[in-house]
Amino acid sequence: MQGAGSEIGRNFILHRDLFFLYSSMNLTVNGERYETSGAPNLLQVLDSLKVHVQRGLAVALNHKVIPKSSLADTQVREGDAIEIIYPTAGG
Amino acid sequence: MEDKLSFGNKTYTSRLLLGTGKYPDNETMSEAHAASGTELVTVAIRRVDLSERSGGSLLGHLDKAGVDLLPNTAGCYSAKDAILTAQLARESLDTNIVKLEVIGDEKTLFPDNEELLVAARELVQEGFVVLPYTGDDVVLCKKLQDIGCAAVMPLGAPIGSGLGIRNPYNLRIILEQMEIPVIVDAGVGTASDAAVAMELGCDGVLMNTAVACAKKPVLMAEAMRKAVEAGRLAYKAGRINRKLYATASSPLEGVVRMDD
Repeated sequence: MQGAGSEIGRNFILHRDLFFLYSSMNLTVNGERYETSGAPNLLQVLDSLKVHVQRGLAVALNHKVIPKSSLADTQVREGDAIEIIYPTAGG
Repeated sequence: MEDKLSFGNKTYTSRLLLGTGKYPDNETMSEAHAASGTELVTVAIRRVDLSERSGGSLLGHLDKAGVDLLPNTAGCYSAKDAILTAQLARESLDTNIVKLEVIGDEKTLFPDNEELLVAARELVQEGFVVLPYTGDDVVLCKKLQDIGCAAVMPLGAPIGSGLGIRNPYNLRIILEQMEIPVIVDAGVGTASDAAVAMELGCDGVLMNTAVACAKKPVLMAEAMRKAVEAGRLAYKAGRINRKLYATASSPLEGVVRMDD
């Protein structure tokens, strides 16, 4: 029974991943609507936006700052709000 | 005797803090910074322009110059936005110092005191070295000091106005009651304004427009360095009392007179 249970679990995970892989996802990036496909992590979202992770960059997900070292480990979900900032000239 | 300005665990020889905004170009900015002797310059935190994705040249210039960076929360109108901006700045620049601005009014750019206190309290608790831009109100400054801010930065006049030190008496009251550094932030128009602030006993002056928008920013930066240094020396030297009538500087005896 235990084996069958874990198989069902595996199938569920597989199907869930396939579902996310082929579905589009709506995000808000810097206040603008952004559509992406699959279930990406934050680093992949930045890649798709052609934003390089470099000194000065910082990212917040739903008003919480995500350290650069955790971008690849942070999944984004439908409706998430992402802020991507950089220092600029100011007084 | 060493005469230095300290916030948190940082110590600076220069008492002049400059901005990075409004310069004709980055080269002029770097030259002006060098001429001013500044060791701490402000930067703003803004959303990356996803249609352009440029960036990097400002930080490149500043890193090359070796100046410390003081990120600001300019443009924030609520404690919530200012706190998130400060947190993003910390991640962005790997520094826990922040110039805390919470604006309450678009036309004057005067601070929203209520929101400023909320943001200051939260950021101090989170371990930030908080330098709040504030009105020249001693009650507010005392509250910011009690919260644990590393300095207070009362305005001399509205941001970018160049009107100089509009209320030196309020600054004197603030200076008398503060134990943390007092830095005049905003309002300086020319060198004498910076000198006045320093002569009053302020610990430093922060300015942007007065240098960046001068006809010759690099020359004005040098003037500001000298003004801040002169004002500081004059403060330490102790000025004479003001009197309404003259007191002769030369001896009254032995004056040459033609005998009749």
